[in-house]
Amino acid sequence: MSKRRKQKLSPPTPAPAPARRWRFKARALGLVAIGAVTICLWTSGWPSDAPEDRVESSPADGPTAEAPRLRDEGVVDLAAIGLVSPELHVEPEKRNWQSEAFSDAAAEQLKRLGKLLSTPGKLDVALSKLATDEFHCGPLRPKALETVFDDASIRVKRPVEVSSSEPSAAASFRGPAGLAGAMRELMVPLSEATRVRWKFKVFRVSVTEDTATTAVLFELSGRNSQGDYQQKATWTCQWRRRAHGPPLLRAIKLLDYEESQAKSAGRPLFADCTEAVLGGNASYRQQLVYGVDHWVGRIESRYGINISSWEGIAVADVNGDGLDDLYVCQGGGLPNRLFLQKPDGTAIDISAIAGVDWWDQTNSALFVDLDNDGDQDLVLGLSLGLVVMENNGQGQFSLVWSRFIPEAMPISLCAADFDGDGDLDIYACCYSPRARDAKRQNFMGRPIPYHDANNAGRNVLLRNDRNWRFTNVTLQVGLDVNNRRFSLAASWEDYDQDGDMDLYVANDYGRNNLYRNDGGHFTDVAAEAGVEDISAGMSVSWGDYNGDGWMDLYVSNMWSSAGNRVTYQRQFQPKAGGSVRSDLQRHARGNSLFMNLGDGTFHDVSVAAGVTMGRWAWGSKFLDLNNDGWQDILVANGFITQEDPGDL
Amino acid sequence: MITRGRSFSGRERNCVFLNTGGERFADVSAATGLDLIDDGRAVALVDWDHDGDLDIWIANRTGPRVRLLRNDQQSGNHFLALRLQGTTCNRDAIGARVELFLTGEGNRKVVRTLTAGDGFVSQSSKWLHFGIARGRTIERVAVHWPGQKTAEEFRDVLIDGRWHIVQGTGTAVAAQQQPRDVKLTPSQPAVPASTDKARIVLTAPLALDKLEYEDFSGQRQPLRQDGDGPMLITLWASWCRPCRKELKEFSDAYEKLSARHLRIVALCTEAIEGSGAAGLSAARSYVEDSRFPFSMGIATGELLRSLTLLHHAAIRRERPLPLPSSFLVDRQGRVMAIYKGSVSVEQLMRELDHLKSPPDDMLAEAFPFAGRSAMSRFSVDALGSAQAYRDGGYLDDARAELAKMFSGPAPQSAPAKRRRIQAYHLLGQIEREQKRYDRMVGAYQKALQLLPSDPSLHIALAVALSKNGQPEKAEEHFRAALASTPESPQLMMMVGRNYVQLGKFDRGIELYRSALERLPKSDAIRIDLAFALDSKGDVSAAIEQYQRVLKQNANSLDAANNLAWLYATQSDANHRNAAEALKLARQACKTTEHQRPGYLDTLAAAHAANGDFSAAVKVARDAILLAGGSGQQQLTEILQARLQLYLAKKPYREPAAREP
Repeated sequence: MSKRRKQKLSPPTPAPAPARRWRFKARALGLVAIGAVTICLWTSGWPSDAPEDRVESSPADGPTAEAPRLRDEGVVDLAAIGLVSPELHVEPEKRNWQSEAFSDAAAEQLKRLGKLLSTPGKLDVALSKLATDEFHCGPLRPKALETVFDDASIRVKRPVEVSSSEPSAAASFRGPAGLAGAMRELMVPLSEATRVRWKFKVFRVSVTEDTATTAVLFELSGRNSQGDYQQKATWTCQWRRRAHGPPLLRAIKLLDYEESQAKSAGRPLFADCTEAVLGGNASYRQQLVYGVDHWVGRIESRYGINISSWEGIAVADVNGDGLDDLYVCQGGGLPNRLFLQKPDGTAIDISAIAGVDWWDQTNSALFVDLDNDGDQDLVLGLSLGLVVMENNGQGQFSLVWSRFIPEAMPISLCAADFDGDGDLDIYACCYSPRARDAKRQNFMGRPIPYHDANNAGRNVLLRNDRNWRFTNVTLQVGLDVNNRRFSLAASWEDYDQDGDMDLYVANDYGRNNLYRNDGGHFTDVAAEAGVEDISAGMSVSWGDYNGDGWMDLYVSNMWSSAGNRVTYQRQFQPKAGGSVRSDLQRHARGNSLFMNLGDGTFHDVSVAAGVTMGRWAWGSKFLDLNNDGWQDILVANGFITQEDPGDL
Repeated sequence: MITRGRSFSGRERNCVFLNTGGERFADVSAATGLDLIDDGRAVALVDWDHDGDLDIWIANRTGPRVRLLRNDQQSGNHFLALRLQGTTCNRDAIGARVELFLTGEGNRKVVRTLTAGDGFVSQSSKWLHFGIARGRTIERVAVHWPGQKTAEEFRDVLIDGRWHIVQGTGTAVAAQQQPRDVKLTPSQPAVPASTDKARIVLTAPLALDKLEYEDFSGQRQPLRQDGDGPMLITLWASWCRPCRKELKEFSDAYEKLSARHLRIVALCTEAIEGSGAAGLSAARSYVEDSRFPFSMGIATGELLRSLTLLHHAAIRRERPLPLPSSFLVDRQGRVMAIYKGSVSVEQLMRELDHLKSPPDDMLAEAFPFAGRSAMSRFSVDALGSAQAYRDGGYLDDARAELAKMFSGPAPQSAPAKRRRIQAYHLLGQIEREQKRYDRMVGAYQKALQLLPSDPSLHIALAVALSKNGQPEKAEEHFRAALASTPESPQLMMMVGRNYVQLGKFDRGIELYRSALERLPKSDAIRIDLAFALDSKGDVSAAIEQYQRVLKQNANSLDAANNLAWLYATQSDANHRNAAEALKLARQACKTTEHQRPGYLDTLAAAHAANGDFSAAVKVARDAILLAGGSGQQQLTEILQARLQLYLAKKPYREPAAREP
């Protein structure tokens, strides 16, 4: 592409001085040219908008001084002796939902059932406390299973037909003893297994006076002689409610079932090599090994460190030795880390020498060759804005550009050449509005309305104007439409294969954006393309899952068992009009997979493809785990795990 | 809730879905062993160990903050890894879509796009990884480089290899493989238990409330009074071994600490509800036995609450304070540091030094590890915000930020004044962009009030006044600027133009001539001079100057155009040169592709001067269309009037020159 296209996108430059004549003397003497002179006088006197002075990293501030100044020793928690203010330290009370109370009771009973699974020999003992005499169910691990996938690393089986397991007069398991029998069958593949684990999740509840029905997700796994084995099933449980005592199971109906067996000679398919790679570094042992909570309790929050923890990672070859290296972003007050990979696969911390050990709260890093000189330059989303660092080709970086983003902190970064001029442009998602205090560090944004908010920070597209100059062109290229959403992630892809890069943006608390690029100008076509995906968007991954050559789209959201339970209750938002209830139900559905139909539109295949389950999902990616050419999916999950067992 | 140590959607395992053939996925979360409970966040993919499958770096909220999960799959399938390099497209080839065509049954095409940044806050390797099922062979690779219509094909890649592909070469090159001896032994990372012990330096010191404690005779005492020196408030309990050890150390170092004027008030927590009265008597006997040389007392519930809230104001993890806990307070009554767990005397001595440190060193003191800060590179005040908004084209937001600044108190210090003037300048530029020249004038007037002798501000105001149609007022400020910057040819030119605008041609001419002495090669100044001479009525001199411009720069279209106009339209036949006028006007129009209505106007006049009225009419009509289309109302009217002349077969003639 020629440079001309970019000029078209630029703001109109003043025309050259017009020919001057008698008859429009006043106009002719317009001071078009004077602006330039003025600016030249100005810059001589005052600090200008000139590019940043470069910061050279010097070996003098090398990776010494890493020893923490603290030593842990005996500390007594005041909570243990009652010196805890209820006002300050105790969780507010739960809202009063009859269905939620029942869900808790049912979950307790299922937990008891699970504990019996861990000790199958004693299965009969306490079952009368779990099931009524008229209990009945079919096989919970169907007898007729067919292999739907099998290669040398993994085998997947599903029932030939699930609906046959409807509980009926012909049900094979009856009474508390029947429940024990059904449970024993489940455990057959795990009879000799270690690491046996089970989990029940109640995700739908309907309660009448003396009965109740719950939809339950059941997971069972363990490691047998072949490798890791798992079952996943959905049950409908019918209960009898009792005035005194926990509810009893009346029947279980199997809705779906699937089991997978890894074939890895009793070892896990994926091996944790974290310590082998990073363990030699003090920064790993003293910093990264701790969770974020540890540091949030030690560093002032005004520098941005926060319990939600959104700090990302980037992989790139920073010194051109053919080996990929790793950059780890950290919360405000902790220095970011750059680990250089050595030929033996281990990695050493070169953050200080490389000049990239920023204390600033950093959510994302992006290595891209911005000046087309063959090395990987670095873009960072810091708490106050964006910085660009030039790579000298050896993996040492100097700061060449920075830009304050006044209204919101950058979260995710992605790059593409949107205008086809041969250099990479940068897009930054900017999430929640900043606090208005002097430091402008922390978040305080509140989404309004919750399920479809458009009152957050503006995302930013920075056009690369070469020589380390970047211009905010968001407004002029049409990307400022629907641009006040709580954007967490974005990714470029030429989904319509028209030769320019389009952009999908995942937004928390609402609908997402698909900006179609038409020669450098963007239009939000999310609605007509069928990818609005109203929900808590967290992550974007493009990939061709069905092998038709068109890039499909996987978006992380939240699958919430509590959300599924509550939003379907009659007492939930009874007065809400329009689509509010269904929008909120959609919020809890989970992740989305959109099949690209190749005509500019997408089809939501999330449920049929079986990929909605992501819980509180964050990063998700298409990846081919087993090299069979088909794109699999990995989803990172979980919001806040702390010492208490609490969970929604 | 979460800041108080509770889980929220916690213990949720990562999920993995296996694609079972392009329609459905199977849940293999547990079967792959990737279903960790880590509060997972970013996922980055890379074949870290170059064994031909994708390994996973994953960032987590809990410890360890990152994990490398090595792919040990033994499917027997194959792979191809490609590193692309653009030549006409961006060098990283981000956006390239690569199709791998395979022979054999089933899916015959595997497609990957090279992206930079996707998922959530993550970036994967730039090596594109293709899995290839057993039994397939590679037919070819087609690369759709970004911005290139047709795909480029590569047929020489071999399976299970790593290849470099450079745009436009048509040939893949095997990657130079350095010898690798990767032996990584898997292990479960050991995560040490976190404790509450911490030293927290407050870079934003927090004022301590007026608090009281009880002494052991039951009297209420103020914790601190105005004029007191630095102090350490320590919470302890008689049954707390680390507390007693710490108090002993303070006792032993009494002279050392007193020499630094540090006062210590050690308050036992036994009187607070929940710990029991028996505790208080134990505390009392401890106090009697220990002969603690500093102050001792009893903490009240209110005091504990205040200190806890103070901690929570700085630290977002709102857990109850542990014992012992100490608060270091400076002379101004501000808490400078909080110690959860015991603090050593050496640490306290160091801290007393740092209480006087300049703020820049405070970050190094406050943060637990060495690093660097970019905070000073961002101008976060209203002006910085306004500049950033203006750069993005959000002028209303920029103006709102500036208004905040202007509503503040008048700046007193020189830097504050400079900042305020910069703000007015920014406002002036914004008003200028929106063509609100009266407001532009207002902005620079206010700036000038702050720094009345500044030549740049005089110029800026003069320009604003001139744009606002007030050349007389502009003159005053131009003159002021000229007085302090008498040697700038650019300034002379600006002032000259203003004089010409005011009809003070001689003064303008004089300034242009001075400017030309300093910049004799400047076309712009000489064209201005010629125009001023013409305006004054000295047509011969004007023609001579235009000719000089064209002699040194034949491409000066303005000179050509203006000279053509003179040659075509002078009333004095001695100055007319119709043939030359046509030649020059044609040149100007041709170079600008007949898109400039002003130049077309000149061409039409030149045709008319040559008696070719049909050509004049045609060109004049083109000019009218262009001028009308670009909204130049005044020019359109003038062109319409001249068109009537040409239709009547009359040339246009300028009025006779005025008397000089």
